[in-house]
Amino acid sequence: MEGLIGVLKDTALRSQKVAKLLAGYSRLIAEPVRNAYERERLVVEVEKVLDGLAPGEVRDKVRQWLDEEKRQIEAAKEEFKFEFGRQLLAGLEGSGLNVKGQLPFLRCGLFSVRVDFATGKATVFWGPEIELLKGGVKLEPLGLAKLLRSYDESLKKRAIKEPAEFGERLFTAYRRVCVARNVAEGERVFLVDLLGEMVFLMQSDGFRVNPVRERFVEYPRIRFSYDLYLLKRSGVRTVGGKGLRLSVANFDATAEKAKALWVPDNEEGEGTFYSYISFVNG
Amino acid sequence: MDRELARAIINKLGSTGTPPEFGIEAFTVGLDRLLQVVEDEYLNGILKYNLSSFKLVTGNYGGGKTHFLYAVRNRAFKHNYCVAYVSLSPIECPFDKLELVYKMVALNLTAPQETSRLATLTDKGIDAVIRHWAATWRSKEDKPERLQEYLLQLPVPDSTSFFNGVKGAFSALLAEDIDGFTEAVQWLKGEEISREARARFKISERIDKSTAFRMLRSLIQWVHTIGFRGVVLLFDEAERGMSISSSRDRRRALDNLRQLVDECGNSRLPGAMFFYAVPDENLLLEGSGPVYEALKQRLRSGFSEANPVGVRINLEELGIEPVSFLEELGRRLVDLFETAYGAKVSGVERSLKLLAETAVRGFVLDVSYRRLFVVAAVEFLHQVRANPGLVLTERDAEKLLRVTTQRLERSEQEKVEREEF
Repeated sequence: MEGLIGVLKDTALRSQKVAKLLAGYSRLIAEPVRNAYERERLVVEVEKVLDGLAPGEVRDKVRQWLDEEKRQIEAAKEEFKFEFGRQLLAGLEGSGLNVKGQLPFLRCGLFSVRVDFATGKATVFWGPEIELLKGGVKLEPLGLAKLLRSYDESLKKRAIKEPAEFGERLFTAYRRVCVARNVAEGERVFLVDLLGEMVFLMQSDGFRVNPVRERFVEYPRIRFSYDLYLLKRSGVRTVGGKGLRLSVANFDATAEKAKALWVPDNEEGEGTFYSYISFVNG
Repeated sequence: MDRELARAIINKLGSTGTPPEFGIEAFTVGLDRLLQVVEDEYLNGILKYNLSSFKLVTGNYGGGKTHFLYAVRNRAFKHNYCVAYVSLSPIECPFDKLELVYKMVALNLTAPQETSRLATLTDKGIDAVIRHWAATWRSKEDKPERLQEYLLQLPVPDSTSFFNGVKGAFSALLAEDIDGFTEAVQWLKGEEISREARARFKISERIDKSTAFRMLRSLIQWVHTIGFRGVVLLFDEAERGMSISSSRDRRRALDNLRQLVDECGNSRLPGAMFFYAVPDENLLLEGSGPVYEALKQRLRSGFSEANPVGVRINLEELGIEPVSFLEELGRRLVDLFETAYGAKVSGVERSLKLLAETAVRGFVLDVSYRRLFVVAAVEFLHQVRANPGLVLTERDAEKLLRVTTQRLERSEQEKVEREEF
């Protein structure tokens, strides 16, 4: 008797869960192609719950429905794939982000996107897969386009406005690193070593007095990299009579974040890894 | 063009969209200017003065790299160059293993020949070039006793073993010593031979990773001394990925490439021209792994009419609008199709234009729209042959392209799976 009650309770619980999942599923049907991956995820969940349900007419019916739905989801995923590129391009229209390449890997201006149609996720990178910006992004072309636009806008909004001023800050940071490392001015130091000093130089007086998180101004390496690009593009080559030199990274260094920084060469996403910086006479 | 050849071309294009090895001029679009620069500046220019050159060919998957390489090959033949087209692949010929690259070069080395006919098996390989060499010598020399004198005059390339190998194969062929010829060729193709055979031909080296580059140089030097202007080596990373995978392999491959680029220009590679085609330069020069900046900078400059010394030939920028490109391609395909089937397919221009527009608009980020268009256009022409007067609507064009994409992706997937097992 007790066993029977347990079975009935379990059946009722599982049935309720399936019903709830199906109700959620029916909402996704409104946009079958756009929600193809979400539909797939729910179908897998339904299947899991269903497996624990006692055999019978209801289970068979749901199973039949699942099989048909799986076929339709595959078709929807195909359709989604066809529409993806077109919609992404439409979403990026007017953004100035030039899209190149072929799916599953696209370069969008200074960013790149790796698309996984099997899992329905995308990964967004800075440069050609240089720095991971965001993984597991829902594969939704317009949403992805919006994300890329926001990264691009944010980068440009916060970028340096006065390259000469940035050059001076860079020089100050360089001198500080030289002192800290006990290196003579004019010698090469790791470019990434300057980043910490640059961050410190950017902080407000308020932060210096009371260095709490709320007052901290962040300066991610991506912004440093973009600002260096703007400096290069501006043609500023000397600071305080010293010539700015960036030394290209060797093969091994490019794999180590502490030893190399990727700096764009143009807005198309081409760039160069640099390891060292120096300010030399003449 | 004869009907059989046209039919073979249409068959190849319609099934995979990849170019056949023969008769490609019949459907070459947009490459003439680039090819003319290659011809004027290099094949009929600096290579004549025993110099050498390296070019990187970039273009999307299905974007015409193999087609371009075949077109270069055909022009090279006209100027009396031997050519080796080598399809690089992770297992058989990864670029990090130069000994395997050498083997594939030796297997695919081809003396100048007619390219508007179907190729035969005997046309390719270092053995075929030696046969050609022997036939030429026989036709010029009526006194066989002068053979030793002739061989003595030949300059010895970097590897004496290589020289002894080709000399041995050549002499054995003239003496009708088939076993000797086969043994020498076996070694020249990078296969093992017996100690006795090595002793007989005075071969003291093995073709392995430590000697591969020298063997490649020796092959180039030898070809130059036997009456050809030089060698054009066409390396094609034909698959979507690269022939190199791990970071260590990548470093070795990039080192090999850098060595090759640096050697070009010196006299050790007389009359040699290298083309390396990659589907995605990101995979070779950038990407998530370590990056070889020294090589990247060497390969940075763009090749064009205005800058023929540039290294990078970008097939995505041909100076012709994508739709116009496909329309012109469509016209060439119609001509070929009509030759192949001896029948007119009239009234297809509008449908092909629509197909071109749909391919560019909807599939530009997917499987190459160029390859997609070619396969779909051939299928459409077959439909018109069976059903004259057939006209495509926008919906039909999109459906045809979609079905074609799926078919191409499926066949690519099957190819990958076949290779994996």
